[in-house]
Amino acid sequence: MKGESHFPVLVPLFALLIVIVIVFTYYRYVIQGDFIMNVVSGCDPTTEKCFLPSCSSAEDPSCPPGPYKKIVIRSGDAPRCLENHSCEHFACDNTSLCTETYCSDAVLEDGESCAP
Amino acid sequence: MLSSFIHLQYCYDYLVNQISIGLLLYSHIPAAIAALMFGIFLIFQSRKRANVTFFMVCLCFATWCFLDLGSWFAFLGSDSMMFTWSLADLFAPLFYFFSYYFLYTFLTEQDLPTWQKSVGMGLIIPIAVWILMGQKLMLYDANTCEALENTGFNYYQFCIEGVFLISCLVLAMVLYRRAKDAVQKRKVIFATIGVFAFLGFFLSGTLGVNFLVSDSAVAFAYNFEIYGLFGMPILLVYLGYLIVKYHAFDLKIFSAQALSFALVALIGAEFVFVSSVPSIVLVAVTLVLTGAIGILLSRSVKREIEQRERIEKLADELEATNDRQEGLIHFIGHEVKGFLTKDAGAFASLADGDYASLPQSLKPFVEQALIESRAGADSVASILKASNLKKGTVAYTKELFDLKELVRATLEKEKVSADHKGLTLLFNAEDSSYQMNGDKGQIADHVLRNLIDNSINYTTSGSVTVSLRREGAKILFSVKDTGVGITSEDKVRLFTEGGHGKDSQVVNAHSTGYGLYIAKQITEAHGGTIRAESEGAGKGSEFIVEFPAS
Repeated sequence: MKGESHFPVLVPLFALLIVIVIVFTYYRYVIQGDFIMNVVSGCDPTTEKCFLPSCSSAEDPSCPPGPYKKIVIRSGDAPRCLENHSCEHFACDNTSLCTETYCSDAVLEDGESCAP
Repeated sequence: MLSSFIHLQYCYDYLVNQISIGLLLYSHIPAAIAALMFGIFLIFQSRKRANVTFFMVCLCFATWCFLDLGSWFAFLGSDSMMFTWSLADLFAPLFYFFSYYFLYTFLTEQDLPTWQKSVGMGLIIPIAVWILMGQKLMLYDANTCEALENTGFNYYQFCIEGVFLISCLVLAMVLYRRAKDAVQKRKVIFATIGVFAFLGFFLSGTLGVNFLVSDSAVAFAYNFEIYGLFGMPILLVYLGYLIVKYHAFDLKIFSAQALSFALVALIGAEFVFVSSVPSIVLVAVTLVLTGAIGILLSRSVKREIEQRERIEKLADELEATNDRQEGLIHFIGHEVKGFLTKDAGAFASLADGDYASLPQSLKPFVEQALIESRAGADSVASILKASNLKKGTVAYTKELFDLKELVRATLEKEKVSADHKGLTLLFNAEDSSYQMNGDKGQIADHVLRNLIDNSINYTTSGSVTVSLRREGAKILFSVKDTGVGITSEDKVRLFTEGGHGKDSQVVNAHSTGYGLYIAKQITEAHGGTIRAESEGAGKGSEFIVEFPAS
């Protein structure tokens, strides 16, 4: 076709783009772990301002078992036990992209309450 | 076996509480494998554009199935889940694009125009760039083992999938209007239904799920999308069937190869269950033998189909050649007949003394030339008549007439020839009614006169007896002579086009071989039959014609 003579690399370029996306996406997520993870972790209500779960973990597996704090962390920097909800105690270190959110009136969402 | 893949027990427990792992596997894997196998199968049959683009649809859909399954299996790790989830939303619009591409190539049998390829790819590029920049998924929620999607991205994706879907409809409407015949129109309808159902099914599923997810009123909203996957292979097979049906792809080859493939797959699957060495060897040998026989069977069927196609092609070429030959005969015949008729006219004028009295010594030559010219014109007329009869372009003017009177009139004209040869011309007619419906002129010239002429020409001495009688609803006309007779060898060629008896031209030099063929065609056109009887060479012959009486 006449048009094809002007765009002979159209399809190969597009295919190359797809391959690049696949490769770079793999590198970003699997190799580097370069994505934000939203997770809850155990919290000591005697020393920290903790969230209290308003649900029952027996009925809802996603319901935290006890007082918790919210953590937003770069997945590549997080230990495996964190996303597996099996870390005994986790605290952000200052060297990685990590924030801990403790309970306060300003951050409460529907169904959440703070531990006394 | 599954436990070795569980890296996040929390997510595994969360998943099994939500949905059956078996349901996830059975909804995704058979659909993916069926699509992939079918696509590969079709592309191995033919590299036509429709088959290649259909393969791309199947490949992208199968890839999407595996990636979507990966996005469910967060227990493999959040990293792999994020990877597969983000890419699944690249392959979904890709198979929409290739579905449109397939529909276009299938219906038009041409490649998609470059500008349409550019537009299609251009619509998908922003999705690819968003994924490349990591903007497709906002974050991973480890509490629900799900990713949070960029809603703007989702809306864009649904919009372009809708664009491809609507483009399919528009294309179908344009091509339907342009379709030349009912077959092409049906092809457009069936193909569009298949593609539209395939894409529409998918889009409604994902769109509906997306609505449920954003509403947050329904728990585990993503569960609902898997039910749509069960219908996808059916639609893919439907589309594949269309390719087979409308691309003159012989179903015999397809069936033979599909059967062989299914057998090989079934036998190959046994490797999963056998463990002992003898069993493995036995299965391997069976597999190899089945594969070999399958290949031979497919090749044999393919060869048979190719031969048949070759024969059909040759038959078409032969028909075309015959048509051209008929045209040439007509052209030449008309030209020659014209010349001979003019010559006959000139000789007739000379013989009649229209211009001047002819010298006596010249008269016999002119009279002979006149007879020869008229005979020549009659011969050419016979050949043209035969050609017209064969083509079915002869029109009959039918009327009610008395066959007995027609025979009497014909005999009056033929008496001169019979007397010239010293033959006795007899006529026997039973006292009965001989009314019949037919073309008087054609019957007189080409049936009655032909048969009587033949008998006179092929009888050197003796008599020619013409008979007419009734047998129930039939009128029997016969011409019996004491002439050269007909051998069994000649009988076969008697009523055929251009068919001469072995020595016919020795006895009658002017024999064209078309007279009896024409007599037969005209007799049969009047619902009658004609046959010849003879006891052999030198024993005379009898020609019998049966007409239906009125």
